[in-house]
Amino acid sequence: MEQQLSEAFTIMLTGMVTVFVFLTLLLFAMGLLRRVAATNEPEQAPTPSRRKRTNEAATDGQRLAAITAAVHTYRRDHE
Amino acid sequence: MERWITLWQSTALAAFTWQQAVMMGVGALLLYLAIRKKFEPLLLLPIGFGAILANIPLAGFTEPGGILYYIYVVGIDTGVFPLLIFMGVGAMTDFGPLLANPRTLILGAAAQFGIFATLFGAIALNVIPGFEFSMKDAAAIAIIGGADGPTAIFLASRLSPELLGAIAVAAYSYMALVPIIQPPIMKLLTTKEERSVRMEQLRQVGRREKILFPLAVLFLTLLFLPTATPLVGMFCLGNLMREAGVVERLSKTAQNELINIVTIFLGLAVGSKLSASEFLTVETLGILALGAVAFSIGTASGVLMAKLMARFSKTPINPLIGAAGVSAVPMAARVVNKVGLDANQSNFLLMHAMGPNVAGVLGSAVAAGILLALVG
Repeated sequence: MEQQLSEAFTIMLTGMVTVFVFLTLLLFAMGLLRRVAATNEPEQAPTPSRRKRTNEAATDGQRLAAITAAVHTYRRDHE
Repeated sequence: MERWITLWQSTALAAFTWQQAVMMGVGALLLYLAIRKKFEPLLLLPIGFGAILANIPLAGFTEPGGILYYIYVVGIDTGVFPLLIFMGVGAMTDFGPLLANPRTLILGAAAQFGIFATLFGAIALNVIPGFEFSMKDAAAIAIIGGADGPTAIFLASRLSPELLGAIAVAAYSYMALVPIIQPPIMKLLTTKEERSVRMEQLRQVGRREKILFPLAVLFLTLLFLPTATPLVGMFCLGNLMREAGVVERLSKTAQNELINIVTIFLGLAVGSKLSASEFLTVETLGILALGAVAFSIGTASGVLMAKLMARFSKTPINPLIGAAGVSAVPMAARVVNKVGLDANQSNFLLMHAMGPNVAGVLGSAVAAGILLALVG
């Protein structure tokens, strides 16, 4: 009985230590992964695409303003 | 007259034992919990029905020739069903929140203490007469603390098949009870200020990172913990199918049709293990008690680890997210979110809790691998 208990205790300790060591290793691997992904990905460019999107948004806004202005003038002229 | 006797003897009424009747009652209770209370209905409904079928006298569902017998042999004896489910779970899992905040991996590790503490507890329970858990039994019971159905069934089928019914029922019932078991523990261990801590927004994670992640996990597992590769391997396959973006059909099948089909059979097969001789024992009561203990310890150690991390971290950490380290995806994360909202009306922790939550899935698969290596 006591022997069994001490065995269970050892398993508990080794198990917890192994879980922590393994997941810590994975933690480092994830750091590495992030760096690898970061060095390679800018080619397909998250920044340019974002800039493009903001450009688009700007043009959209301008276009909307132009259309609104046009509609306003049209309505005013044709009343 | 003889004919009448023969006919009477072929009816269920004559052959019924009270144990079978009780087990049918257990099956009916599971059906009630599934249908009325909506406790993990996807599993408890087929399990409950399977339990009723398995205890019909003279029908022989669970003997060679009976359908439940074959479903069990094909699916659980071989370990195939839980692994297929794990593939589906992998295909449903988004590792984004974990990749955005990798430190939460440590929370997923801490919550596994529930498993190992319960292993010790199960052996300690042998002091009480009537309990005789071997080390294998104890390991299979302890994995309930992983709060992960397929992992629990897989490990139980490897280590201690005769306890499988009770272990699976305990695992799924407690998973359904997560919203009741966890909040008191979480509130006990944290102050209101800690619970209302706001966390920084998570960064966006790139596609390449998400594709490489399952491969990295698999690589580490096969190097250091080959016994965990069945679970982790299938999980990573599912996840890679999801993230690769080129096999959307396979990914959809894995997370819908396939997992649904397997769930039906898995439930029936587990139900078939709910026979009177294996379930109506003191040990079942012990398993149910230990399962609750395992859940509570896992939750507590996750929260405590999160408190520790918060003390040393530069960015704020809400200790509640530690509770999501016991897998039970996504229920545990939702509970964290809810308890967080109770403390601070505008604090949404769901995405922050998903990190430790999926880390918990990996953690319990790793713990299962360790137990297989040490005890199996």
